[in-house]
Amino acid sequence: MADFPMPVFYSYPPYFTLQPVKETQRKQRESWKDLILSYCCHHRIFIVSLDAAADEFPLFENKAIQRKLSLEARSLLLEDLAASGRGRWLGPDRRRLLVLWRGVGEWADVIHAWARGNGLEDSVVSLEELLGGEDVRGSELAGMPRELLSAALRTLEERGKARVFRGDANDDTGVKFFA
Amino acid sequence: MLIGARHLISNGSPHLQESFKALGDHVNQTKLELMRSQMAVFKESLEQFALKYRSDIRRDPAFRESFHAMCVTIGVDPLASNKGIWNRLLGFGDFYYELGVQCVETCLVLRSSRRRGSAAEAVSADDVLKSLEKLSVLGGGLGVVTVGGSRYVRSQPMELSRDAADALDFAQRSGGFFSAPDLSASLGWAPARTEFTLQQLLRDGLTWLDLPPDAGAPCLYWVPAVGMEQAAAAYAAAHRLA
Repeated sequence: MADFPMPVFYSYPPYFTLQPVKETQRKQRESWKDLILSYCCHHRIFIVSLDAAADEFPLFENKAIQRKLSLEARSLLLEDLAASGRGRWLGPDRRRLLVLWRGVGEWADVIHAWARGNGLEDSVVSLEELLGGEDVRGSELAGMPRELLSAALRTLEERGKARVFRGDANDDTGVKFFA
Repeated sequence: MLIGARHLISNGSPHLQESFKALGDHVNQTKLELMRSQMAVFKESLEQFALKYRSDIRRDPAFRESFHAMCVTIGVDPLASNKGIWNRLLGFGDFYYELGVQCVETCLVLRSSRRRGSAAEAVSADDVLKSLEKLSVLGGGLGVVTVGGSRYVRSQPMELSRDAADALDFAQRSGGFFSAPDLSASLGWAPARTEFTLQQLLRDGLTWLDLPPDAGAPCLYWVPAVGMEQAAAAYAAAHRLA
């Protein structure tokens, strides 16, 4: 967390209590929403879970002032992200959120640029390769969860920039990129 | 001589009356011209002064304040117009408009981050007051309220009750936050009066509620307007937190 500049409100205790007054709470949630997005972007965090232990996602607790967000507050913040299009729930139980600090369309661009940059146009790449192969390491694609990758590839398919060949099992799936 | 003159007029021939009228007009005309030329001289020296100290006026908030005070004393408002000579000389108009807009932005965003940056020109409290004065023509309740010893920029129309103002003053004195029992004790209020005032302050968005983690600890009420950074630091120091 050291190199990420925390906003002033992060050290201001009442920001960790869900405000009882509607308008104040709206401001509070707006500030948190921005912070979650920039924090996740900075640390390349893709998924935030309501069940996560504090050490997995330390943002919701500020030990320095002994404050943490309640489950209710955390859940509301993630709902806000989903409602504004900056997050997608993974699964119907709404416990894990895919945080879209880049929109799916943007990710599609990133993947396509990566494929071009690696000379992979008109060749088939396996999904597993995209999820953690040699070429992906250290690139913009590193760490992308399967759900996000699939969504971005669907977008590329719609744009006619890729074609996904689905095999029987997950590791059979391949992607062909077009220029 | 005046008596004589009146005497002559009352008795006098129409011819004499006309002569006196002509004389009177002439005197008035001379006076007016004298005034005009004095004004021109005066205006010129004021402009020269402004030009000579232009950079000081622009750079040094304290000097700027003194210059404004001088202008006000002699009935010139260098801020009155954005098109006039004064703006051409000093470029003030835009300075205060921009500062005013930044004040409003800060109010709206409710962030204490330094939006002007450290490289920005120095700004005095007087500058802020002037810029807000200019923007107050827009309505919208923009203004400055004084609570206790401090002045606050008000960004939305609201009436601050006496009790609410006292509570804000107490927040200022206690480092930006307080508990309900502290407030009652300090101002000698019955719990109901404290509760009513706190609800009002919360509703107006002037205080934020904070539930400390330790069970049994009273709720704290925070007043962001007093300064978030200082309050957070004061709290951390008081609780010996890192």
